[in-house]
Amino acid sequence: MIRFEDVIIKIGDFQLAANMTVPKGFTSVIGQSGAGKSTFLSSLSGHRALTSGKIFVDKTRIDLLPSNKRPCSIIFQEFNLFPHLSIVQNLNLVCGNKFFVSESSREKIKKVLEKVGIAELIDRLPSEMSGGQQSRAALARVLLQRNPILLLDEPFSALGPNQKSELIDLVDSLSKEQDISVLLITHDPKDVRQIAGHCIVVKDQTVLGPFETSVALDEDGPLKGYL
Amino acid sequence: MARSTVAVISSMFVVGLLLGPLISLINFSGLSLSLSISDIAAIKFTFVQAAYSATLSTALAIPVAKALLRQKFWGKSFVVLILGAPFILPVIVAVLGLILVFGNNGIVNNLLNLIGLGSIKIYGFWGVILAHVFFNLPLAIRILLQVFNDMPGEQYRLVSSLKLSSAQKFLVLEWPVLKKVCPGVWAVIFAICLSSFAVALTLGGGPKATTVELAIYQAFFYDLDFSKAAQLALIQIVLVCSVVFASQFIVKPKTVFGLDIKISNQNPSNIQKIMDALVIIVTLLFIFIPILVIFFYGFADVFFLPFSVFKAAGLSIQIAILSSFLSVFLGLCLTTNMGEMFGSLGIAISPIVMGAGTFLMLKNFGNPYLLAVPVTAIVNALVSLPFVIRILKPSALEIRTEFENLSRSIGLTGIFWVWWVYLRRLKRQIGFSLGVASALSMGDLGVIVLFGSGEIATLPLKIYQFMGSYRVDEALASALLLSLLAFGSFAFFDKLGRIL
Repeated sequence: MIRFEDVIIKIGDFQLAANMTVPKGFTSVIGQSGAGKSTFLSSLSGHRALTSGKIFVDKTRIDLLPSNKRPCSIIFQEFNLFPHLSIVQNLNLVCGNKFFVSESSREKIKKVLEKVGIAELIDRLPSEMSGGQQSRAALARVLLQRNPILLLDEPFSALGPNQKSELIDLVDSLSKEQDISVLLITHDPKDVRQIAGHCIVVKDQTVLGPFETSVALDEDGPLKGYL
Repeated sequence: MARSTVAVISSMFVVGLLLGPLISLINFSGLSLSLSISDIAAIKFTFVQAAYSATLSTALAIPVAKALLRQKFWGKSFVVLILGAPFILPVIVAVLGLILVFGNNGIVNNLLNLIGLGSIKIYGFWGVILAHVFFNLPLAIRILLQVFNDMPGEQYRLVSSLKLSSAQKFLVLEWPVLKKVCPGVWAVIFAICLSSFAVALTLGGGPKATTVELAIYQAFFYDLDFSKAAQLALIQIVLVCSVVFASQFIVKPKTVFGLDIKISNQNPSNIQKIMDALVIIVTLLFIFIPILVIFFYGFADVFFLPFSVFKAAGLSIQIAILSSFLSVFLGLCLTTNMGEMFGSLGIAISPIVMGAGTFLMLKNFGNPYLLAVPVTAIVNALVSLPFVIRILKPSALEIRTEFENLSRSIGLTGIFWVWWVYLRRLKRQIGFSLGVASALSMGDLGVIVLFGSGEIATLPLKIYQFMGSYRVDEALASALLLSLLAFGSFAFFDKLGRIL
């Protein structure tokens, strides 16, 4: 459970307010471009400081922690993998020994890559893989990080509809298996429909919700005018 | 350790290395407060020769850069690439080459005598200017060519459609750009020439052609007047820092932006083609004949050089390796704006003073000659540091911006970030800067002249000694060896950065 308590984030003239509790499970975050979806997520990941307010995960206050100490993993729109490192090297960065890839780390990484269906690409460079495969590798790293919250900042927006749908399903099943709460930013109502969880709407400089997905997608719901 | 902490500690370390010897020198000797006539003459000469060198290099670079921009020919990119060669060519080698071409019995004077014209003199004021133009003209050409290449293609298309004359085109299109860029180019060359030592030592000298840097050497080495050396060193710092400070106001950022469309609409007339070809050929001859004659005359004797030359070459290699790695290590720690500011102080502080001050500091602890190699390596590292930072910093900043979010999100910081991201992403630039620093150190004839003796001599010092004793064949063969080592070390490290 993630609690935003009187949170205000100011960037120049722009201001975003959030006051809500996000339940466990899969939650989509929808809003128009520039509404503040990424700002909202980066306040949780620690990449953006709050102007005022508090954020709690369960009962622990996290907004004062540096980003690498927060219980969140994040996948961005781009630059999710270091292009000069192979997949095993990329994933090893969140394993124990960070100076070289040990045999035990390699085995551990291989098992996780099997879960996301790209075990055979373990020694490839990101440039030698498709966009979908790169997203799967980033997802594998999230599984290795073992954080209870996964933030997805439109990571699949450059993929085709089928690939995107497959990956959302994969995230959904893996998050259930590992008890991870997911917040997925999207501007596509189709993605929201696919997710049988909750939906947060960002509009008019305010973060609204969370709503049941069916409520959010209702004709007279909070997405009225956007759908 | 945070990046800013590393930069602060490294900056303090560099400032200590740069200013420590100067303070030691002042502490040892006191500070002379009066300027003699010869000191004033040295300051005046330093200014005048730097102004002439900068003006000539910048002015001559304009037609050459324009010709290279206009003309397309086979090997053009190679020509532009090797215009960088004089930068890493050891000064002593270039001076020897210039003497062979422009000296009393050189190619040019022989030709002039043949057609009954008088001869030109390479020693003194014009010799110093000639050598400085030789080194800095290619630098100016490359900067201006880059600026011309960056001009938006749409502007050329617009000007072509207006059917303007060449003079009008120049006024409308090129003059506004040159007006912004040339003062900056001039200031860079002026600052470089202000601290000229090896050129002045070999081609200048005497009351009419002594730079401040050479006067420091003479005060220290011949007059044993440490107080004067310290005074002149302070004057040099003020001179160079003033120019660097003033250049911050002169160098203006790029203000002409387009849509990055490359439009090839340079349609030179036949006369223009001939003129451009002439300009390019004369420039290439001016730059490459002195290098080629060294290869031509030095080749025959290079295999018969005495053992002492190879021993000196070995010492040069040792110093180059030590100094290039130290310089790049410091450079990697100083890729911030503050780091660049402190790291660039090396341009202003005389290597001779750094060497002399260190010599005096070490004298209290033992025989300073025993530490000649590490001292020379450290001084050479500080001298090449400003160039190394200029090479590393833009890419280092880019890496930080590009991968900051990802690194933070997976907690990749400190030494692990340096190991997996910083060093690996920067390997090409590291290779290139190691190449530049090693080549500069290999050819350096600065601080080693203080420590140098029969036992301790680098290859440039050996060549200088051969020149002084009129052993021309050995000097030429050693110069060839030195050129091969300088270019070879540059190529080796540059290649290493590309393949690793």
